[in-house]
Amino acid sequence: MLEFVRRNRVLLSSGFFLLCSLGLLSANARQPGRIDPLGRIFLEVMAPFQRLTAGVAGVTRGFWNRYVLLVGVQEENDHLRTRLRELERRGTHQSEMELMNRRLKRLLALERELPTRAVAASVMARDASVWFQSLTLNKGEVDGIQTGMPVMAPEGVVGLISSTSLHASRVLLLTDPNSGIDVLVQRTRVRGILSGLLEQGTTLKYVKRSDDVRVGDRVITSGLDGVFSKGLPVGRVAQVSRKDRGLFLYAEVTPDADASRLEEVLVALPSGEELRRPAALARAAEAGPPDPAALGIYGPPAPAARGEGRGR
Amino acid sequence: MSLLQTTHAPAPSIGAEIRAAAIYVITGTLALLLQTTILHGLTGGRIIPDLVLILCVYLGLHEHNIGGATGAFLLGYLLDSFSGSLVGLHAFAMTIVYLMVYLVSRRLWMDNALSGVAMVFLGSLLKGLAVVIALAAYLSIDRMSLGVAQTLFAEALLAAALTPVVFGALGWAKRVAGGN
Repeated sequence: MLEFVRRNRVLLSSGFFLLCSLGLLSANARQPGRIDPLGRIFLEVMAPFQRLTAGVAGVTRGFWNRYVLLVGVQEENDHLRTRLRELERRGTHQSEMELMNRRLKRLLALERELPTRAVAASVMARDASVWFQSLTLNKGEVDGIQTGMPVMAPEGVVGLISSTSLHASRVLLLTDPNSGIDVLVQRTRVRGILSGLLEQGTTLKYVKRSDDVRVGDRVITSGLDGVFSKGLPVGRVAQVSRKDRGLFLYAEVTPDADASRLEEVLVALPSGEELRRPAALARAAEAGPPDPAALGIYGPPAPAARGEGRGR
Repeated sequence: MSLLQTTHAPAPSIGAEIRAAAIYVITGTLALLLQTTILHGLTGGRIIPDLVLILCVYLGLHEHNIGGATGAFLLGYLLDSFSGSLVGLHAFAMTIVYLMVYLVSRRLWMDNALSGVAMVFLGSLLKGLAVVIALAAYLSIDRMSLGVAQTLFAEALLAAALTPVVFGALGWAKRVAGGN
């Protein structure tokens, strides 16, 4: 018996680990992100190394872009691009506010305009595989970040916090096949679920074939998932196809926030969150009031332009 | 049948095994760091060279013991911690790859660079397939196009191309540490 075990130890141990993996898979498919005994440790241990590597890579890339590749032009280009995105975002928000006024939803809009704190975080690392879409941020539980919090960029919705450690956290992007966000087509108010594709991009699910959805339509959050506020920009419809059969149409959406270029994001804290977290409150107090242009996604555009996004 | 493996290497000492394990831990950490930062930036995230998989195949070729299987599982688990949200997916795929490489290397002579490249290519395809099938099973993904197969193939080619470098570095590190 012992000789059999010794001779087949690799097969037996591999079989054991296969069973362990399948067990983990099954458990996490039912409750994503809940059963992960080692992941938190790995995330915390790797965070300083990733921060260091990202820092070195950033310095090298910055030197190359600003001094070697294009002296001066790169900076101006960045400035103009940032300004254009800021104006686009404001335009989208303004349209959404006007529609709300027409439908006599001022009270709800006013409620949405209540100030909410947000934590700014830098992207340290990206997903280790081509099949999934996630980011690792340099802020964690000590900064008040918790699983399930929405993550945004000035361009639009980025994703959700999927796991945290003390000093780092991971964001499940809206382009990940495992994500799902309740959204509206802004022009026709058609509702659907935005989910990632195995290839790049996102798809609008559960939209009836008869619904009016066209290429170029703007997609915004519906606010019905209890995570994202209503009216945040998500993306634009890039492709629509209606097959002969089936209840739903197929629509691909190009996200506004290009996750591959993101360097800084905002993690929105729930109302009153900072009051329960002294460390986060102290940091927020040191940092002063939140940047109105960056946080404008919760309310109408700030009347005074913040240098039109320059120096962000 | 010159391809049949007929000899077995003598069992290494405990010190050598510990040194080899340390090399694998350092290499695995380095591979994941590169995959999640620099390499991701170089390729724009379209195709990422799977250095962790190459290390897993190396384990399957050279570590025919419980430590090898454990290492493959932990490498997959490490990937799971930095990829997607379905914990266990890469652990499952990596263990399958390790098992496949182990079974093949027990029957065929694998002590040359070309066979290593071939095993990494096949291993990468197998891992991709395992991931896609598991995704389809657990996430009910209903739309898979030719793009998925193209990505699988391109990723396998890239991993195979990098194999001589990674295997060479591992062999050098083990020789320097006296672990081989």
